Amino acid sequence: MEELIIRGLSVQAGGNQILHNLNLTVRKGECIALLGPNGHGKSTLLNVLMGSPQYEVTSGTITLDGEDLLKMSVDTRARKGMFMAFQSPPEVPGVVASEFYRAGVNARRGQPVGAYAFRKEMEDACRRTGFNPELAARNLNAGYSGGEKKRNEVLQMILLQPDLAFLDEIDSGLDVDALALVADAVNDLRQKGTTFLMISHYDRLYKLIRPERTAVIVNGTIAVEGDGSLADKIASQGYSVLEREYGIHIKKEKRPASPSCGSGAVNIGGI
Amino acid sequence: MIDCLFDDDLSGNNELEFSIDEGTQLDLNMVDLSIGDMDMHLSVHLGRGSSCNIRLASVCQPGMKKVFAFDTIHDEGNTLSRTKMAGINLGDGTLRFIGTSDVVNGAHGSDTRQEGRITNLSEGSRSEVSPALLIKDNEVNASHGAAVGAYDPEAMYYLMSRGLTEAESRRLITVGSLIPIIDSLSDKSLAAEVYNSLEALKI
Repeated sequence: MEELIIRGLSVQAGGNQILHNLNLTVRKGECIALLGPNGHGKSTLLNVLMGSPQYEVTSGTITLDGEDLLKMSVDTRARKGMFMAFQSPPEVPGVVASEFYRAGVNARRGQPVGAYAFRKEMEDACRRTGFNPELAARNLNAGYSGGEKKRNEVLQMILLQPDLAFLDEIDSGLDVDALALVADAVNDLRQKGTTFLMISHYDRLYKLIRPERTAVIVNGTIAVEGDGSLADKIASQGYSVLEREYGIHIKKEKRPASPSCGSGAVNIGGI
Repeated sequence: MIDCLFDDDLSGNNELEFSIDEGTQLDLNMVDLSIGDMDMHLSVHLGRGSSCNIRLASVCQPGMKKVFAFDTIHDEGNTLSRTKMAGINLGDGTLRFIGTSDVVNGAHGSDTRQEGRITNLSEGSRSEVSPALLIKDNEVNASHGAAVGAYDPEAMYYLMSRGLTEAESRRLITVGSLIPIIDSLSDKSLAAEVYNSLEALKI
């Protein structure tokens, strides 16, 4: 992936308009922090990029290296190197986690990986994420704790080695040690050229990853863009800084919670 | 522990009745891959301190009518029953799971649970999961869960987001809903036979 270009994107779900005329360009190797108040469209944007069937694009275009992304099925996007770490990964009974990982790796690489080679990769990825290998023999996400689900998402990211990764609150519910492992995995992939677009509740993740760009979604559109220091500024001063310095009026959330509207508080302080 | 595989034509009424003596346990695992209509009525009578685990996995081919009516009758106290039924309705057939937990007067301290789920793969699929709890005493735990529907779109999205095709994802989710029941078969060669049959299904 060289360039992802979003132009004039408007999106609705369940009769609610969520994104309005949103523009954003993402270039290879960038790491972008996606911020914004609760319910203003951050998770929606990531899910539309990955191809979630819950949302309807009413106007606008998204191109990936000149190709029309909106015409691609979800699995085509994945095979092109796109990856999404889900905010709330679903439980899938009867699907054994490790077999599912292997099917994904085979699809991503376009050829089957050998059983022994895959096992070695699994062991390494489990070690790097602190994920209990015994869980990989169980049903996907079934009975995992919140932290285990998040580690499982990062484990899949390591196995799949995406070109373009979306992280939707990958750090929520993680303790400090797990957070450091996640940041190490992200930073390792960044060195290899993976592009990231990430939503986080907390500035503690941004302190470990140091995104070079910040994009703020307000009222369903990108209201402000800046470098990494904008995320720090919002973290320390809150979203009211947008009103004071940029004259952006933040509408109160009125609509009922959409299926995957995330949350967007930034600063918990302390770390 | 009893394992049953129905893979012949079992059209017509099939009645099965068990009486579980004091302090004993019945594990009854049934997998139904039969080609043809089915009308099965199972009754399990529970004596004091006894328990039963009843599991059914059923595949309904297009044009068939399958009805499974499972009754657990708690005749005495401190009895426990667990009924779990999972099905796939492939086409325009009818698949019905009817469960009744009957806790009679005097069977206090009993515990019963029924779970049923049917995945419809066609708009013409007619499916019903209908659990009933008839409780005639106090100090009884009773619960049920029932679900009928197409495969979970959220799970489909998740699997496809890792590069699995729509057809692969649909197969994994659908067959996966039966797997916990197949895995409880004690005869592992029978379980392997069932897996092979499921592999050959057009989903």
